[in-house]
Amino acid sequence: MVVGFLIHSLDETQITYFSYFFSAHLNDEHSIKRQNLIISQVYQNYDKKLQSFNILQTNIENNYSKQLMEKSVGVGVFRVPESSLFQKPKVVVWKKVLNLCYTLILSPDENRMAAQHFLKFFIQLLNEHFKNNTVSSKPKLLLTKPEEVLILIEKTIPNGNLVYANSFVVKNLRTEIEATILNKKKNLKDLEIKKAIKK
Amino acid sequence: MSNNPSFPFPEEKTQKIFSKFQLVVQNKSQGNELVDSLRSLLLSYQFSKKKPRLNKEQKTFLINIIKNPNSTSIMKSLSSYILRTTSGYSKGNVLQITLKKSNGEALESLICFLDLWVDGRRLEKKIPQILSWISRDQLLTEQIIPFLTPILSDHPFIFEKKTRDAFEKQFITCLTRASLNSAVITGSFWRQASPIPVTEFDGSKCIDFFTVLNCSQSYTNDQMTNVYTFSLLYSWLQTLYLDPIEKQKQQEEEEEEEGFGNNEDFEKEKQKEKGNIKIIKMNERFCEAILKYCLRTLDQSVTKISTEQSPKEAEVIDSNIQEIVEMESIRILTLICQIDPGQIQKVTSIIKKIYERRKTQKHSLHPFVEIMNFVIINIEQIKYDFQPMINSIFGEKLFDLYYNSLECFDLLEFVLINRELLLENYPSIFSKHFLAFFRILAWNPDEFSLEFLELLPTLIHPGNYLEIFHTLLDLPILSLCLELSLYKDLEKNVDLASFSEILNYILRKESSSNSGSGSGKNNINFWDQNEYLSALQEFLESNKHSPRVISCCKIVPILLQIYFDVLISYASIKEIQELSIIMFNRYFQLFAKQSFLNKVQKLILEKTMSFFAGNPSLIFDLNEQFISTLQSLSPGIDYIGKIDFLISITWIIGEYANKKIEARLNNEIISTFFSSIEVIAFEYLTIVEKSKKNKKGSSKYSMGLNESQFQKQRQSQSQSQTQSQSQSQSQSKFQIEYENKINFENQFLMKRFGNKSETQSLLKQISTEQGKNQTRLLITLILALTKIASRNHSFIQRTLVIISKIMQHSEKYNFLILERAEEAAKLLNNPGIASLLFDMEKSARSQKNSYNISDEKSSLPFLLLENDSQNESFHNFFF
Repeated sequence: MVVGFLIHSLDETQITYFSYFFSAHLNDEHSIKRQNLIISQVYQNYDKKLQSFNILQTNIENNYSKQLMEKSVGVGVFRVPESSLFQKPKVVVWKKVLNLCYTLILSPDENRMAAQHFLKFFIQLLNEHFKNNTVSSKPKLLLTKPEEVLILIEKTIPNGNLVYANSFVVKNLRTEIEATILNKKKNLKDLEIKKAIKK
Repeated sequence: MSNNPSFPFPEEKTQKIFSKFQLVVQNKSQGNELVDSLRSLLLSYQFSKKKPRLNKEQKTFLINIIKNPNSTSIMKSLSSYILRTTSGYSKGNVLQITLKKSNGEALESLICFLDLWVDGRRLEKKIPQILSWISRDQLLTEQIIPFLTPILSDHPFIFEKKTRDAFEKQFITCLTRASLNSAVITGSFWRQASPIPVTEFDGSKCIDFFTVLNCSQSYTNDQMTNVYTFSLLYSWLQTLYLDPIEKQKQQEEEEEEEGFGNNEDFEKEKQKEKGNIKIIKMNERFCEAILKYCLRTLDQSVTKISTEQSPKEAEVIDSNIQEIVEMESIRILTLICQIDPGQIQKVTSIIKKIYERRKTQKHSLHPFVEIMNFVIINIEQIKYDFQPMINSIFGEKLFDLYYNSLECFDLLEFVLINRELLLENYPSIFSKHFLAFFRILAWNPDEFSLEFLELLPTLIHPGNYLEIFHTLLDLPILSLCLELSLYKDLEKNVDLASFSEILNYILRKESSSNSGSGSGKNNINFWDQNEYLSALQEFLESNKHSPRVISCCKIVPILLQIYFDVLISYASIKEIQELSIIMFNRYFQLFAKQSFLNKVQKLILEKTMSFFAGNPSLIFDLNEQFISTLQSLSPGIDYIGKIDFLISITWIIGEYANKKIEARLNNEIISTFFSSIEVIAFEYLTIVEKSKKNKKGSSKYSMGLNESQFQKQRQSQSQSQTQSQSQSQSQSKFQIEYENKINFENQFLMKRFGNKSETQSLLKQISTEQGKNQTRLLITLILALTKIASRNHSFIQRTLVIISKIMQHSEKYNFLILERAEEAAKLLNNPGIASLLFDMEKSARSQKNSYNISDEKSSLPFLLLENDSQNESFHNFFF
């Protein structure tokens, strides 16, 4: 299960642009401490990887190795041991794109490859939705329409479930997100739900 | 955050947003005003340091927005998010409000808050209602199924057999009976488009049932429910079936260990506890449906993706999802076999096929990890040789994947979770392929330090413990070499001809312990090879150390501590002896980073002391090593760690060079020990005297001088070569050597730091430390000589000569040295009392350790070998 999803900067400012905890237990008075702890650990890991890569990159032999190394700098995974902030151990998977980092907090038995897959298609959908492939380079755009980011998250990780989405499911989600934001499909669905309950 | 004026929100701003929201609540505002206020509220929850609390009126208002059919989706989502964000510290309130009218319109809002039920018992009462919804309507099922994951995680007890059966009945339908046509898309207004059939990835029409790997142009509710149900399966099976089985196993093991079987009360307690863990057999139909579904997805995972059907971008997503679904299906099948072992044979043949199919293709490591997981969990029932797979993954694939942290993490987690089973069935993973793990650590020291701390004890075994010791000490060099191996124009950075051998050795894939007898003696310490040494030192000094290398330096002392703990607990005397020799050699052969050197050297000395405390007979086994080391250490210059090293060896000799402790020690050995220490004592006394002669008019001496005085003294020493004529020839030679070294050291520091003031400050620091260290050393030397002389009275006179030399020039020595010298003289003048104090019988503490390893050539790690003294075959894996 995905217990939390964070969108944040990956520099010294460590700004959280969006955070969403799916478990009621994690939405308590310590949730900010919790998210800051994760973000600072992601930042430390990334920063060391980046510094090592910067020393390396001018000397790397071929483009293929360079690409591989560069790719490995922008993604990571680590374990969060049990603590007062996390009653059970967690696994964190993160991916950096330009100025933004997308971080998933998972229960240890979650399929981490599916988590990686989610991050890829979520970032794609986010870019498409903001009709701006550089949304990750201008993160403040997200603050102008936080409600739309919210709908994107709710549709793509419903209640912390990683969806095994092929390209057709992604397409379907895209349509549904746009329709929901435009307030078409959702209202229709709500009426249907109400009708079903009253049967 | 503090650098950005917008973050966090100032308290005033948050208050303003809340006041505005309160107005919206009071006025029951709608439209843009409401959305703006909710948006501001969301941002204040994101960016305020302290989360504001909602009052009852505000919560009711938000709930009403969710319930109101005229609210827009955005209003509903924002309200739901705000309520959710505060749910953890306003437990139950949201739900109490929601449930006030629990039958009727309020029920629909239940769906939005299903996962917020902190009080599981209240939610349990609503389960029949939820079940009636999902059995009635697909749309509701699609809405509810995703909520089951958080409920499972927080309140698994809700799913009693009856509830579980009802849900599973629904799941069977969801998994196997989803529509084979896409949702009807309304075409132009005068005609409705005909339904488009669901297809496979290759574009062919789906003739079997629908799965996550089918393609639908527009997903129907039941198709989306199918996708959500598959996502839920793993946690459903794990939480409701496997966790209770594992809890019961664990409880049985604990009971066996405690051995309270005959106690009547305990039996009753046991029965009671068993009653609490309810293991329910899996519904056969549900099990069959899952098997059927997984088998179908495994078949679909190799379907070739039609480029006509999926554009290039989509093709990447689809090929990824094929691999991910394959991996998830294997995970689910593994769980099914753990819950119902009757399925193992059937599933094994499928897994074999997948492995045969995968092994020739270039794929990521993830599916292989899942295959290995299935194999190792069911190892007793599977009759298939998976050793080639193990060799291929740990011997080849892993070596080239060290930079892929996600794949490495999966593999490390797998190894850690299954280490006991792996040790018993595939010990070669640790004994033969351990270098691959070190490569992962060297590249990812920050990410995987926790994993490695747990893993290390498993890697150490009698065949490789020496090689692991070298590998640990050279971890920063391994990290550096991994980086270097990617360099273009390598020859510009290092002298390739002399360095390539080191590079090849450090980056070797096969353990050198495996190429010989397997006793762990075939390890090569390349620091000992003179032809490599200069190239290596040049290389280490010329390269800027990356944060990766520095992180390796930080983790090595922690790992070494664990390494020594394993060895001290489990190794035989012979192995300790071999390791001690290597420790002596490697003490000065370390990666040249000051903090790393200090920590590792300190640890080596500490552990040497521990080895002697457990095995005093080492004093005989290592006597040649000790003597040659003492003779090879030239006095005078204090290169890093030398004085501490001398203090430790001298103390050990003084303490353990006793025939009553080790009967094999003869007079000749003891005499050589004494002479070696005596020479060092004379040499250091000469340094003090000499330095004082060169510093006329000074009332102090070098031992314990303050920083500036010592500094001045150093300068005067460098100008005083000609004044040493009155000394013996050997002393003159030593003095010249000493001064040359000081000059060299000064020049080296100047060259390295460039900045004169920085060099001066470092020299000051060194000189202060030297003063303290030399005082400690002289005290230890006096003590060691006194101890030996008290056991063999023929050495008393020689010891007293040294003491008298100190007392004659008492103004030159620190009062601590004088006190000790005086004490020693008094004792040695009463040999009977001295013997009583220092010539003790073997103490209980120094009893010979009886660690016995029956087969020294065993490939089993220390953790699995029988430890006769403690009668334990396993340790608890925690150090």
